[in-house]
Amino acid sequence: MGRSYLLWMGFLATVMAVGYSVHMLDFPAGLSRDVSWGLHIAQFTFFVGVAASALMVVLPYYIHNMKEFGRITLLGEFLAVTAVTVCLLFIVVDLGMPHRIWNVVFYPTPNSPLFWDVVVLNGYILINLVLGWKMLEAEHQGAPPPFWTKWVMYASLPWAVSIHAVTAFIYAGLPGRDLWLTALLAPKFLASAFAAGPALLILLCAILKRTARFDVGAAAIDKLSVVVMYATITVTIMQVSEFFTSFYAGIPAHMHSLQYLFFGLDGHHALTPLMWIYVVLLITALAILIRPKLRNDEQTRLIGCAAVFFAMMIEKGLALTVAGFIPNPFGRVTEYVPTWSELVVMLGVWATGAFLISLFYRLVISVKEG
Amino acid sequence: MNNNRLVALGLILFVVIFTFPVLMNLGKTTVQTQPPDALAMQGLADKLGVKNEQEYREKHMQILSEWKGAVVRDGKRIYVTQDGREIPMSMENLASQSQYCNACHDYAGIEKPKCWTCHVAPDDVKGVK
Amino acid sequence: MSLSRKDFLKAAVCTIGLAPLAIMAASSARTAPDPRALQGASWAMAVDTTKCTGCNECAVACHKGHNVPNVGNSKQEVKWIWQENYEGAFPELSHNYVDEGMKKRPFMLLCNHCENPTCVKVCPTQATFRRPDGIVMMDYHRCIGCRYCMTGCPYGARSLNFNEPRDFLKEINPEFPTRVKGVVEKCNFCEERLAIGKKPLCVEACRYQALTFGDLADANSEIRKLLNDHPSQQRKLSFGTKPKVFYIV
Repeated sequence: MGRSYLLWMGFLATVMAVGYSVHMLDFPAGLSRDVSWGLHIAQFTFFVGVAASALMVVLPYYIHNMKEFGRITLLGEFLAVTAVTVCLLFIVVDLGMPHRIWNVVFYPTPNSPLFWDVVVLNGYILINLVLGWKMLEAEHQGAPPPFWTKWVMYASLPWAVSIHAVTAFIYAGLPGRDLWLTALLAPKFLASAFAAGPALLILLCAILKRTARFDVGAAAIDKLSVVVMYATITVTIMQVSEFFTSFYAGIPAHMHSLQYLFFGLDGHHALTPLMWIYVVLLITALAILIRPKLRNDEQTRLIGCAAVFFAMMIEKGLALTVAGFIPNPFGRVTEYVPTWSELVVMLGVWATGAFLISLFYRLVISVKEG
Repeated sequence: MNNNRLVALGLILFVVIFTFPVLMNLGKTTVQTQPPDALAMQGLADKLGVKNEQEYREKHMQILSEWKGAVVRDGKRIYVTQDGREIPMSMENLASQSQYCNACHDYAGIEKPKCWTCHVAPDDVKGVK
Repeated sequence: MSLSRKDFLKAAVCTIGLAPLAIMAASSARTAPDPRALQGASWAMAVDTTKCTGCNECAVACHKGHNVPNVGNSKQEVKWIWQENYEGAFPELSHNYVDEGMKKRPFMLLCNHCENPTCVKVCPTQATFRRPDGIVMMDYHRCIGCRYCMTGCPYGARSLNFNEPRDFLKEINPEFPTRVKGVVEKCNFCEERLAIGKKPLCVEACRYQALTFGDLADANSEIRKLLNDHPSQQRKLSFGTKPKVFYIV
């Protein structure tokens, strides 16, 4: 075990310990009676998308037999496992009575999208864990994987779509929350997932190339960046569509949340700077990804992918959740800004994800390198 | 060779974490060194509609769990005992935690019931004697 | 053939994983009906805003009787019934030229105990559920504090206990439990009082008879007569939640 690897893991373990301690000490959150979901639930929403994006490396390799994805597929599958774990952690740290979480299993409630989300997320972790494990084992032994892995892989495809559709349905079926009450929400979630997830994977592969000297191959990255490009274009079209429907129709209830986000509402504008950063990042990403010269150049591609990732992080990892509660049912604005303790706990959960993925990738690389 | 040291460290850490509850309670004695008196126990048995202390000990958690479902989820508040008596299903009717639930649970060294974090025991009511 | 260590571990983990399925079989208690209990099939409340003076006695009585904490921080307050103005109660009806009288009129808001409640639809553990008599109940034993119900409620009727409620209760009513930090609570139409034949605390506390509680299914009930004789409106009707609180204007 290399020294830098141990140092990295030690650093992550420290951040995890700090995050865990801050969580247990239970400092006040920025949540309120009006904004009852904040940073942690938003982050959960974002990382479900990252998890779903494994689809984008499984599909080409197993269904379309694109061999150039051979070294990246396992990385995508284990990213999915890590992302779902991060999601579940975000939920656990957010619950008011976390020790009662088993109630969701003891008292199944088919009419609740949240119940189904727990089901599909756990199923997805299982699918990807089993698939990744069996595929890795097969490679290690130099033998083909057992026949049933094919069916697990087939299952993982609609399942990936379902985890994010169900997560969108958590938001999209609530009569009182206009920002979310749109048929576009599930498709938009999927599009932003297929933009942010593969972008993250590309970034991770670049890191692996530099630190572990593990190269997944330019062909895979080039093709994956095309996926990121089309997904980002789709997200942009959807965002524009949202703006048009809201502001052209001009119905106050349908406008207010977007107004709050981008222009401020009733003198409240805590999130507006962040939203314009989002716009700039989105435009930057498009400018880079659409031009093949820039998209295929390693340096600029990383900037483009980082821009996509952080743009989606802002929109789905904070803004969307918070703005759904603004204005409140009485037409007034109660703002939400995460407190320092919420941010520290988030970093702790991120560190847990980084820790897990470092473990997984080390495993994958050591098997693949023989 | 390095690995042996790490393994040993990991094992020690595991043992410490695993036996943490025991280590924490070394040298401490239980709060209640005597079991609660028979009269009080019979009173509790009556309130729950069971015959005696023995039956109370065997069944009280199950009965209280049934009460929880009946009152909150079914909206029923009157319990019919084995011998046909009707008694109210009410936590507030039972004795205060500091006197009775804890007395037995401490003595037996088992988990104290969490009911009284919400349900009000007479000792909890400020300014009321 | 001996079991390999890997296979043993696999089997052990899978077996442990099945443990949650061992749900304790819950038997149900034998119960008897209480003859005092008020009978109804569709409990509802009418708020006569022409009579309401905004004295808030109803809210005081409710919060006192139910040990609702006064957290003091309006962002995280816990309230079961509270006062709003016309604009806050009916934002979709309010316009720029509302008469002065209406602008100053107090509107008492509470859980609407909807017939088609969003909160019940979304709760992942059925900690909130709808009784056959129309009351939307909270099971504080089961609530996991996910706040989906708060997110789903279009009326802002629900409050999370962000803080330990007993820290913010000057007096505790010994006849009713408190709650703990981490669970969501709301008006329960005083179901514990209905069970022993009493009207809700807010209705009893009102000196101006502005609050009427009754059974919509009973054509002869006071509330039905009131609704028959006076124009009334409801909050956010277009959402299809079928609220059961009516505002006589």
